This record gives sequence, C-alpha cells and structure tokens, in this order.
Amino acid sequence: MIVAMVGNPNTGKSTLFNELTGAHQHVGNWPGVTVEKKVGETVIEGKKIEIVDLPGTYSLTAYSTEELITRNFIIDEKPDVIIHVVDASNMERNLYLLTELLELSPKIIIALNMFDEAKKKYRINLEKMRKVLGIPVIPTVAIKGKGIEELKQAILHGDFHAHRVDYKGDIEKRIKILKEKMEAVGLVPSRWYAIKLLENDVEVIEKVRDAGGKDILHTAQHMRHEIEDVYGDDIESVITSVRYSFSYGLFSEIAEQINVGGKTITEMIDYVVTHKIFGIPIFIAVMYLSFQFVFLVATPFQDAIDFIFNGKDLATGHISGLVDISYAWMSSFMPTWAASLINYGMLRGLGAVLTFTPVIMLLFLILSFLEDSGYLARVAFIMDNIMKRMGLEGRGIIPLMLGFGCNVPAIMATRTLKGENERKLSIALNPLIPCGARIQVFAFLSYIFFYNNAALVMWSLFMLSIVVVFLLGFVYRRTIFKGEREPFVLELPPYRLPTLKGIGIHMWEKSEGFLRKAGTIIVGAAAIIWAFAALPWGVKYGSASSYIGILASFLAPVGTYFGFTPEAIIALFFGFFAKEVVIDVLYVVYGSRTAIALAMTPLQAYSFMLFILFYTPCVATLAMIRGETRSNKFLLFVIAEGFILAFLFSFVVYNIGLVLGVGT
Amino acid sequence: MSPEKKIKISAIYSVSLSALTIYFGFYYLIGYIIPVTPAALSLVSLTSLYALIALKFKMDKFFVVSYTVIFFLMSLGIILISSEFMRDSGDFMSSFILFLISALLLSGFRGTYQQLYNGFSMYLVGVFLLISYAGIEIIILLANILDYYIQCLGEHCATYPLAMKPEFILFILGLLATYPYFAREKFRRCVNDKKGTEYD
Repeated sequence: MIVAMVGNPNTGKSTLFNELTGAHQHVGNWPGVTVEKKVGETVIEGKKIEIVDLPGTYSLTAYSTEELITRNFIIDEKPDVIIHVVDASNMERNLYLLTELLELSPKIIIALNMFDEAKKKYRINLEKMRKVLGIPVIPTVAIKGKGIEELKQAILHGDFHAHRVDYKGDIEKRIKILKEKMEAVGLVPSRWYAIKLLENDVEVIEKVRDAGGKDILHTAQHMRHEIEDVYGDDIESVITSVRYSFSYGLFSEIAEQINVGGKTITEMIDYVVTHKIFGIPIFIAVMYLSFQFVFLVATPFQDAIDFIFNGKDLATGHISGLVDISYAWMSSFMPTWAASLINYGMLRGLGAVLTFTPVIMLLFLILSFLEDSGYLARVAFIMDNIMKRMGLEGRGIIPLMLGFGCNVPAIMATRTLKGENERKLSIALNPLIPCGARIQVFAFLSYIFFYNNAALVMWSLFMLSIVVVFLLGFVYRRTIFKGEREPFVLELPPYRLPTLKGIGIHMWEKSEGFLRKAGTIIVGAAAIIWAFAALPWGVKYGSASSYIGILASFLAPVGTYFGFTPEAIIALFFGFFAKEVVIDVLYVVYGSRTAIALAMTPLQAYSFMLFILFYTPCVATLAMIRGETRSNKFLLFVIAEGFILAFLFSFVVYNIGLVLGVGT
Repeated sequence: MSPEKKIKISAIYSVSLSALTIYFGFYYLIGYIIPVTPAALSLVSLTSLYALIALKFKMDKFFVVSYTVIFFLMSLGIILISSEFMRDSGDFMSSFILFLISALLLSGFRGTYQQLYNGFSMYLVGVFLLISYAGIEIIILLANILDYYIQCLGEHCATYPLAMKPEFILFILGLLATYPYFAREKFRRCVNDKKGTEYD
C-alpha cells in the first residue's frame, strides 16, 4: 500500500512523515525544505505501508519542479491514499490545493496540522468539514505527535466519499465532453486531464498529442475560446477563481474566526523585525549575539577536549594527553614510525577537528533555534526586499540561506527556480556563502588569532559574504544572467517556541555529518599530510627537507603578496578536497594551537580567512554544480569567480592592513 | 491598581530602562577609549531623555509622579552600584545592541503608554532583545568561569574574580518590564497609523 503526503510548503509534512515512519528527515519552520520526494515505511495493524513525502506545493500546475514531481507521482504511481497536510492556522489558503487533489483521487485524508495554533485563531467544525468534503479530516499536532494514531486508522479504515469542485454549468458541460475523449485515448484520471487541457497545461497537451489526440486538442482550444468569451477573462483565471471560491466558501462554512480585533504575537514581532528601519539592525544584532554565544560558550568544552588529547605544559612539567599516552603505549609493540603516524598524524588530527565539535554543535543549535522559531524566514523576507531592489529573483533567497549549512543541497534546491538564468545566477552565487565546513575553519582561526574578538571577526566575514553576494548578483543580473524578476510570495510562518526534541534532531543531523567526516576523510587526510611532513625517511618532521617543506618553499613566493605562510598555502591546496582539512594541515604541520598562533599575525590570519571565504568550493560542490548545469564552461566560471574574489580581497585587505599597521 | 495603569507605569519605566541601556551603551563604547564616570553619564542621559520625552508627550499628573519616582529610584540604584563595575571592557558591538534596544524602547514608549499595538510591538521586541542579550551574556560569564577552572587543571588557582557586569542589572530590570506582555489583550489597533489619532 502506498500513501502519498502532499501539502503547501511549511505545513509540517516532513514532521508528520517522521512521526509516521520514525525517520529523522530534516524539518524546518521554513518553506521548501523538501525538494525531492522522500520514502519511508510504517506498519499499521501488521500491514506494511510505504509513505512518500512529496515536495511542498501550492498548486498542481506545470510551472515548477515541485509541482511536477507531486502531480506526476500521483498520476503515475497511483497512491492508494493521499494525505493532504493542511496548516490549520492558514486553512483558507491551504485548501486551494485540495480542490486540485480532489480531481486526481477520491481517497484523500486531510491532516489538519498545527491544530493547537489554529484553535487560537478559529473555531473549526470538524464534523461539518468531514460531511461537506466526504473524506476523513484528522486534527494533528505533528510536532507533539498528536493525532498520529487517528491518522494511521484513517489510512486503513477511512470512509471516502469525496465531493469534487463543481465548475458551473457551461464549464462542467465541456469538462464532461473532454473527459469522455480522455477515456477514449486512455488518459486517466480523465476528469483531471480534461480540466488541465482546458487550462492549457503544457505537459498535458504534450501527453494528449502523444496519445494520438490531435483532434481533442482542437476541440479543447475551441472550448477554451468559448469559455473565455463568456467570462471575459483567460481560462486559467476563470478556473482558478472557481477553485478559490470553493476553498473560501468551505472555509467560511467550517471555521469561525475569533479575536478579530487583536493582533497575534507573530504579527507584532513581524511588525518590528521586518521594519524598514529596525529590520536590518535587529538581524545584525541577532547574528552577532549568536556568534558570541557560540564562541564563548564553546570555549570551556574546547579546552577540555584539547586537554584530553594534548595534555598540558606546566611550569613544573607536562601532563600527558591521550596522544602522548597512546604513542608511548603503541611504541612498545610496533615500529615508532607507525606509532607516530597513528598518534601524531591521525589521532592528533582527529583531536584537532574534535576540538571544534562544541563550536559546530552550538552553532547548529542556535541556527536550528532561529530556523524552528521562524526567525530565519523573516531574515529571508528582509533579504528578499533587498533582492527585489536589485532586480533579483525572490525565490533565490532560499537556496542562498540553505548554503549556510552546505552548498551541495543548496545548489540542488535551485531546482525550484523557474528560469534558467535565475538558476544559474543562484548557483554562481551559492559558493560565496560560507558553508558549515568553512565556518569550522573560521571558528578555528578566529579562536586562535582573535580570541576575545572571535565573534566580531566571524560576523565581519558573514556580513562581507552577504554584501558581495548581493552586489555580484546585482551586476550579474544586468550583464551575464539577464532576466525579469518573477513575482514571488515568501511565506512567513508563525513564530513557534521550538521544542528541545526538534532542535536536538536538527543539531544532531548537521553535526553528525561533520563527525562522520572527521572520522573518515579528515583522519585519512591527516595521515596523508603526516606522510608529507615525515618523508623522506630520516628528515626532521615538518622541516624544510620534508616533502611538505619542499612544497612550501616552492609556493612561498606566491603568498608574499597576500600574507600567506607556505604552510597556509599547502592548507589551501588540501582544502580543495574538503574545507575542514585546512584545520588538519595547520595542526599536523605546526603541532599545537600556540605554534599556529605564533606562525601568523592577526592580519595574515584575516587575509587567509578572506581567501578561504571565497576561493573555489570543495570537490563535492563542484561535482554538484557540474551535475546540475551539465556545463564545464559554467563550472570554470564558478571556479574563476571564487579565485578572483579571493585574491582581490586578500590582497587589498592585507596590503591596506600593512600600510595602516593594523594587526601586524 | 488597574491593568491600564500598570501598563502606563511599565511604559514610563521603559524610558528609564532605555536611558540605562544608552548609558551602558556609552559605557561599552567610551570605556573602550577613556573611562567615564558612570553616575554622571547616567544622570545626563536620564535627564536629557526626560526632557526629550516631555517635549513630545502631553503629560498628566499620573505621568509626572510615576516618572519622578522611577527616575530617582533608578538614579539612586546606579549611583550605588556604579563603583562596582569594571572599566576595561570595551565592546563596540555590545554598545550597538544596547543602543538598538534603547531605540526600540523609546520608539515603543508612546504607543505602549496609549495601549496601541504598534508601539507595544516595538516595546515587546525591545524588552525581548534586552532579556536575550543580558541572558546570553550571563551564560557566557558562566562559561568563562567553567573555562577558568578547566585551565586550572593540574595547578593551584585562586577563586574566579567575579565582578559586577551591567548585564546582571539589565537582565533583572528587563524581566520587570514584561508586565504588558501578560496584559496584551488590553491593547488596541491604531486605524490611522500615520496620524495616530483614530483608534478602534
């Protein structure tokens, strides 16, 4: 048995999916979290049920990827039951999709999600709703696991007598004629195909043509003209208006608004955080406080992990850490070079990366809090206003915001953008957003070089990235990626107090990837770097005669203009594979945080961070860009863009800093 | 006392609170360059704000009495505790946040006093930001204390030198300003937002 979950973006489909299947799919108080369909399983009364979470969509037209994925799945896979997840607190708008779903299948269950929030706004007559629609209506609060059992029961034993939208006499008459013709050419659900053909749906027209129904196309065109003449409007508007009337009428029948005169807390907060004067300063303050919280609260945990791995130097001697103890133990039964590789290469590399686990976890904790509370959606709104002024596509803000986590899914999310140029523009800008891996490197370097001002340094890098993205976007839009801005409505979900469980899952989802990487790629990279520093045999570890030393002296002249030490250039080279490896290289080559701090001035460190902020994205991101654009030329463009910006900013900042004598 | 009067007192209190945040904003900003006398600066900022508000706002007896009492209590409190502060904590971003909070509270003062949603929205976000800011700073202080003792592992260290921080006071005073949130059903919409004259 297959059950499909559909609904508008940000109605809690993914949370409901997780509750039904026990999965831990990423959820967020944020529209557009699910871009592709996700599949999970559950067992109800001993029966295995496959549950498919489809991307959030407002309608089933053929304009965007998520709409096509959803409707094609329903038509091709013919799910046994469809769960329509409705945000009960925004029911009026959500019910529009139902009018389209009813044409596709009679076996629909409505999950009225966020019912607790809706009760503050409306009195909802559930019995009347079930009666009017003829389908099961289950109130749920997915985030608290409420209504899940009832939903499971409805999947197996639901009473389905769905009532469809009636498109008035003259339209209905024509739908009926086309429906019969669709059945004749084997296109089912025939009524849906008939309506879509009347609506001039490009994909449906293609399918009818493929099915050999050229005469049907002529008939449909004729009918379309007739309806447009009668109503004095284009066919899409006529049909959409009937659907809206249905959803509005249904809403008025079943819901009664309460507290009409009052303002909700969400409305009040929105008035200020999206305010034209206060909006941006509040955003700046929130970001700064977030970074300050992350860095300063993580410090004791970082020091504790560092102490465990590396021990401590005292005036009276040295307290051995795990690395020293393990080395001493292993040296007793294996060659010293092998013990050195394992402990001073891999274990120390792992320790270096793990030291930054508290920063990463706290950073994701705070980002998850901001996302789940609904504030990040407001940030997107503020940014969208700026983008609007620059002529950029509003929808493009979502992939850009996702880029702060990881550029790979963010580039994948650009599929929701309609025009080719909009997509390319968003892909070209995305690598300039600092991803989680780069944030780790910044966290590492800021902590070492700017201890008390680490938050300010991090904040400055974020702000610079945002400014560069906007300015470059402005330039690209008027030169390389020309196009008209499409109207876009950005959803502002109500503010919610995030649950500990929700934040915990988010934080773990994001940190887990980092820890897995630390245990595999990064430890592997540490071993390779160790080999570079220890070989050829007999040389002093990391000395000028080692391979890494030779490579460093070869690259040294390049770095003089930017303030990079040869070791830093090597770190940049390895960072191409995964940005976290930069930390590894510095740690393995220098051996300790103190040694790193002594190797560069704060100005050099800042110039180095600026370079990392912009230079080429990692291999995985480049592979994704190539896969999404299928263009080597575009790939080279993205790499070149990154390097030009990196060289430019590092050069300018380093040399101005030198002239002014700042951070030297 | 009726909820309406309590809301009015909270609004007046928010002016003093905003004066205090401005003062601490300067404390962080100017303290970065030269030390200033906290009590003197607080009095200057409080009185200038008082005059500023008085020019814009038509006062009644209730307003004058409430304001005077809050003003003296706040000033007295600052004078008593001012010598306890450390002077070496220059922090540009903290002063920016404190000025922002102050601007929000001042923007919301009039509307909150008149029990209008628009002003109250500013007040609400200002107080929330103040409590969050001070709360985060207190958590950071606790983390610093923990770090101090972790750094001391294997050595003998003295007790952590805990000093008075402005955030302690702001956190407590911010909590005291939350009353209007619990009485939010008493607020009204402003029909003509620009003129601010016609109400439901």
